[in-house]
Amino acid sequence: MAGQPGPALSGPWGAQADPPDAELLRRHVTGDQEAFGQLFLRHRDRLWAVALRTLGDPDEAADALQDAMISAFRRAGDFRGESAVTTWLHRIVVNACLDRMRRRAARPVAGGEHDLDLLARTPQATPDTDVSLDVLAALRTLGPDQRAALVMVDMLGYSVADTAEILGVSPGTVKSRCARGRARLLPQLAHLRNQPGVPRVSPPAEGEE
Amino acid sequence: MRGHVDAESLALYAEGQLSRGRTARVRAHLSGCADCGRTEAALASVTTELSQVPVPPLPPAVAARLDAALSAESARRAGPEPAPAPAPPPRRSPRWSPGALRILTATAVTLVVAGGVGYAVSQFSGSTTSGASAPAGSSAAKPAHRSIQAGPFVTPGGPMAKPNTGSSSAAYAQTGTNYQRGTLAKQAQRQLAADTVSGMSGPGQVAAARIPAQLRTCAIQLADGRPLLLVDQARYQRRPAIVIVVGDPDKAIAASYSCVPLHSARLTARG
Repeated sequence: MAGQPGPALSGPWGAQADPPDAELLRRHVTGDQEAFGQLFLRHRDRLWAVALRTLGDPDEAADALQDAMISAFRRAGDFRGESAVTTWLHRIVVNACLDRMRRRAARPVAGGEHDLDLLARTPQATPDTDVSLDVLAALRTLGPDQRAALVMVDMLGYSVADTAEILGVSPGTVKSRCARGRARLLPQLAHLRNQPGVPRVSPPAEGEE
Repeated sequence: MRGHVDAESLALYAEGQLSRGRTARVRAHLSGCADCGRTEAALASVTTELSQVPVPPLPPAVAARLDAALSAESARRAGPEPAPAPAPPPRRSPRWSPGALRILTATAVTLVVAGGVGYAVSQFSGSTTSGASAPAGSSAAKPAHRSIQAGPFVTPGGPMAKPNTGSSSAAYAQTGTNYQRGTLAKQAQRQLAADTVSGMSGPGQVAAARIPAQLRTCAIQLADGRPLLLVDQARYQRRPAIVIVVGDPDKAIAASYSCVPLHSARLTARG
């Protein structure tokens, strides 16, 4: 899907599938064994993309997604229909990712936690190119909030409004986080542009709201 | 405006996130500064670069693992089937018959840790690969000649139900033991001793015949023709998992929740 930055959302928020998401969730709450699975099947690629790109690590993304889905499974009864089901699912996933990132930041990563076998067995359907790897590495230097916003808006093409709803912040906050994130990525990605270098800019001047 | 506009301000400007006054000053500066114009353009291209990073689809192994986890959750919600306790103390009171023990130690044992419950996968995803019948049937013939390994668990006249895998007669336990990568073999060995026996007679255990069909399928698949000795619904590296012990050849394998092998460890003879 990673196309041009243009048309933001045709994905999860687009056309409603046959039994609408809300109906599937309702069935799940009333004991339908299949409903949640169907719902998850419908959205899992998107949710995976969010988790993977936010966390930057397939193993962690898988854990976060699993935690999130179990949580959604259990808390489905709490869903009040104030947002779309997809928004709700995304929110749970993003929060699971942010929790992990903050925890990870709080204590240094203990090496060797990765299950290398699993990683090795996780085929990269789309091998990351060198450029992609550069971009992803740069992305990892951002803090959780900026990263989540930038991943959703710039990388995955969610609208600012949807992203704001998912992150539980105002659209302005999403825009600010994205803007600051882009500014931080700028020097790191300068070499990707065939320009004779990004022009020098004055040091960050705290000039924003 | 003195000097150039910093990149962050330009980015915020582009998003309309500067105050009115500051917006006006940046705009005025941009109209006369090619450098800042280039920075502005470069900021826009950051967005482009981000958007061009391909997004890999959910890897099948992860998908299966998630399906399994949800399915296990579903089963827990629906059924009386006891879910694995969070951290039950591992039972390790081997009550082997000496003969059985000897057979086991003689034939070094393969351990398979299958991450969690394969049965959940087909059950859940609705894609219904009909895990139960096909693989079970297809592998039925294979381990027949290995009955000596399976022997200890098919105690003649014992309380164990007829194995309905057709051939595998593993004991089934739900210990919830948290197997660790480094100690997989050691833990498995302990569990093997305890569970295979209690699987036949111990409290809280389920006879082999009652291993959920899809879980059995997964186990058989992982065993790959080798005799299946134990299926333990447990944890591996803290994640829900099943531990499967098979005999001959003597190696141990760990697999993900969804039947994807994660790790294998050779079981040396009991020491």
